[in-house]
Parts: sequence; structure tokens; C-alpha cells
Amino acid sequence: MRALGLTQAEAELLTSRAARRLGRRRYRVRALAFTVATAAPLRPLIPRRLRLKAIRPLLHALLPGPSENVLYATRQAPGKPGGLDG
Amino acid sequence: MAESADVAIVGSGISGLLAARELLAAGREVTLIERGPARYGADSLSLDSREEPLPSTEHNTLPGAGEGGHGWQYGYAFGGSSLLWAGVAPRLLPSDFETHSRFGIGRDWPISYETLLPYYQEAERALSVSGSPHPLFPGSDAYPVPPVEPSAADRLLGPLLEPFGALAVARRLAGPGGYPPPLDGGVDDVEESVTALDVARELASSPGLTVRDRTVASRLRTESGRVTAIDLVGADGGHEALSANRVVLAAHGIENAAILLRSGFGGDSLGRWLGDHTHVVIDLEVEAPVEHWLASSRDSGISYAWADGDWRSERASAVVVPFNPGLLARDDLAEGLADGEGGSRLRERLSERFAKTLVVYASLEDVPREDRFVELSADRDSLGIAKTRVHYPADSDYVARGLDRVCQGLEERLAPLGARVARRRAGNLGGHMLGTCHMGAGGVVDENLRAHGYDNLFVAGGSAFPTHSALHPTATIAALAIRLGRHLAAESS
Repeated sequence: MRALGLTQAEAELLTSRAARRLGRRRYRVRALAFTVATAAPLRPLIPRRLRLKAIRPLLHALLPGPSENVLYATRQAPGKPGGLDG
Repeated sequence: MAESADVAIVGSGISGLLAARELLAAGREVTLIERGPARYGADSLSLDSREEPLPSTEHNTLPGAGEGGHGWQYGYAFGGSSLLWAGVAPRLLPSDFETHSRFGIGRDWPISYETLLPYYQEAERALSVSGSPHPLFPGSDAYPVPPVEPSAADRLLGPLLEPFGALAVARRLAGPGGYPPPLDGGVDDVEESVTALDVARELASSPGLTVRDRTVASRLRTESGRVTAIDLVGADGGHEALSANRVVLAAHGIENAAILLRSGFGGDSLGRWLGDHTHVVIDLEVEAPVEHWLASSRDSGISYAWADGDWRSERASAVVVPFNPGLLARDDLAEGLADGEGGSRLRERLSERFAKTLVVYASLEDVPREDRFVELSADRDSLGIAKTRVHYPADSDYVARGLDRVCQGLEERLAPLGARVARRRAGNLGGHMLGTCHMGAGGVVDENLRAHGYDNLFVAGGSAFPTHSALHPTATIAALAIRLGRHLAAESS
């Protein structure tokens, strides 16, 4: 989750919610596609249109709605001023 | 005939169920025909989980030649398209009923705002609509649920975008919803939706109600100006006929027209003048960071600054709704990652954009167009029913002029915020299927929704709209359904 600039606590929260929502198998498939499309050695070999196609499903799972969006965009967990540890 | 019904209603969405509610309350018997399975529970309101893969729920529309397809959104499940509804339930403006006589565009409705007013009020009670009085809507002083607290965006934009008011939204919860909800509380982002299932549960124990689920109304049989029976096809492929004293088509605008076309109905208007609202999301960059939060998780305000005026002869009417959640980062995030950005730097860039972006969406009205229409295809679905081809060419210049004026006006009125239109993109399209069986002379039904030339056939829902307004259609669909139900109950008795 370093590609997204998330802290360890944020990554654990968002991935666990996504895996619960999607089911672990579907989550892993999306995560693998994301990793392939964003990894430095492979990325230039994949057309941009396909990179986007591989990246979007995981982002829609990790940031499905306003609550997750506010955490990503403000670094503040809803209801917990100061971030997840706040 | 295997069965007979007093009133047969095709479709279990808002329209069909509210018409049924009035008939059942008057002691009439109603048979409800629905393609999907009858499930009353609200375990999940998402259409994805409720629309079971059955032959009777096969989506059988095709795009017109050379068109990519408009992305029509509807569902074959109990509750119908209300399962996709965001609950937005404003009335139409009084002038929306008279666009031809006032502005020389479209056509006038054969009924007025004043005619529909008591039914709007009843629809708002039935659907638990929250709202507040507004002078643009006479008789709007009795919403059953008070408005939610204005969002930060409403408070910022409202005074600059007058006339502005509370957006009428159907919601179970009175008062402000907590927003954004905590991530670890197991709370859904969206407050509980009101759907047709709320009405369905209310009706479930009515002794006069029979539900024929997993069943397609394939065609109507007619004789001497009357519908004598509905041909039904079950999910198992079995055929039977249902005779009925009165028949109400309360499916959506594409489906109602398809049933009539499959039944051999004709005329210049049937299936034509299909309409949808054009929704455009507009990102406004502002100079200082704005607060997005402390709001309902539903949109809560609406601007009528570009909704009405003599200029409607030249350009589209539009309403503008602040999008409470603000800029959703995931789309820009995907673009950045695809371009090799990432990590904290990308997050910081998007966080700054989030803080300095106000998002609104504009809903615009196109003029009814003859080249947007529904026809039968030569292809057939797995039950042997003719598929439907839907022609929906791109918006007219009338809409483009309306949108340009909105964007120009936003920058002018929001100059105190240093606002600049940074981006406009297509919003949610295809959810409103309007106008294929429109009311009035030259249309398909009369002012009481009775099909011209048929004394026991009625067409409800958005398909009966003569024009489309810029405002969301569900409250009007509900009001027309209640009016129809009462009319039929009185006629029956």
C-alpha cells in the first residue's frame, strides 16, 4: 500500500474492509492486478488503458465511499480527529 | 383462461405499488406482475444482490445502430428501479407543465401543477420525504419529515446561488444523519434508503393483493377497444393468460413501450420522445480550503438559479446540487498511479485538490426528441420475447447552451470564492426513462393515464411524462400513481 501513501494502520483498516466486502479471493485478484500494473519494472510494458483497467477495481474496493475518501484525502478518520490513532 | 384479476398491475416499483396501495385501501383486488422474485426484506437494498439471474430477469435492450448505448439503469427485481433510487424527490416546477405555451418548446401537460398538488403531498407522506417550504413550489408547507441540517457546501454556496433550498429527499431518518460515519462502526455510508419495498411491506398482508413474481407480461390481448387478457411467461418458460377488468402498465419507460409494441399497438407517439436527464458533474476549484463535512450523507441542497425563465426557449433548464462528499479521490488517484506517480507525494497532491474543490452536479432538461425512441428488434431473448432496441443519440445543442450558461454563471456568482470550473464530466445517466407513452392529445394516454382508444388500459410511471423538466422525476411518478389509483378505485366502485 506504499503506492497509495497509506500508513500501516490505514492500510490494514482499508484492506480488511475491502476484503470483507469483496471476499478474500476476489480481493486478492484485484490486488494482484493492481500490483502488476503499478510495479516499476512491469508498468512501462503495459498500455496505459490496461493499467487503468487493472488499477481501478482495487481503488473502488479500498475507497468505495465518502468515509474512506475522507480518510485518504484528509488523513483523518471519520469520527476520530487526528487520524486513526487520534 | 387460467386466472382473472380485478386490476392487474405490471411492475412493482414506486408507481405500481403506490397505485396498488390506493386500490387496496378502497377494497379492490390487485394482481401485481413482476419479473423478479418477490422479496420484501431489506437485508440488502442493492440491486446487484436482489436481481436474481432468471430467464425472466434477462435484460433485453439493445442500443441503436452506431450508438454505444446510453447505459440505461433499471432492474428486474421486486421494488423495481426504486432499488437504484437515491431518494431525491423534488416536485416539478409549475412552469414545467406548460413549456409549450410559456416558452414554445416541448408540449404542455394536460394537467397542471395545481391538479397534481394534493397528490404530491400524499406522495411525500407515502415516501417519507424530507424538505422545507419554498416559494417556487406552492403548497410545499407540509413535508412529513423536516429537512436535514444544511451541509457545509450548502451553507457556503446557498447564499451565492439563490434561489436555493433544501433538496427534497425520501429518508427514513428524521434529522441529520451522522456524516461521514465512523469507519470502524459498521455503519453504511448512505443513510437507509426509502424504496418501493417500504410500500410493499405495508401492503404484504393485504388480503386483496396477489403477487405473480418471476413472471413476464409478454403482450396484451385486445378486442373492441378493451384489453381482454395479459399473456404471461414464467421464469420456467411456461405460458398462461391472465384476464383482467383493468390493466395498468407500471414498468419503466422502455418496458411499458415494449409491452405495447409487442401487443401490436401503434401510433405516432408510442415508443417515441424517450428522455433522460443529462447529469454533469462540475468540479469547481476555489482559492481557500473548504469544509466538506458535517452534513447528511445524501445531497441536501439545490439551486434553482438556472431553472426557470423566458430563456428556456433558447437553452436548457438546469438545477444545481452541491455534492456533499466533495471530490472522490479514487479516479484521480487511478490516473496518477497509471502515470507512474504514487506514494505520499501523490496523496498530498490529491489532498490539496480535495480541500480546494467544490463539486456540484447539474441536471439538465433536453427537449423531447422524436429521434430518441424504442422499437422492437428481430432478436429474441431466452424466453422467446422480442428484444427492444433503444435509440438515444447525443444531447442537442439546447442542452449544451444550458450547460455553458450554468458553468459561466457558477464562475460569476462564486467569484467571491475565486471559483473556476476546473472540469466537467458525465454524471449518473440512464436512470430516468421518460416519455415513451406520453399524456395528452397526440400522445398515448389521456390526462387520467388511460390509453387512447382503450377503456380499461392505463399507463403509469415516467413513460407518461410529456416533457422531462430538469428536476428528478420520482415524486411526480409517485403523485401520478396515487392519482391513478384513486381514479381507478372510484371508477371501479
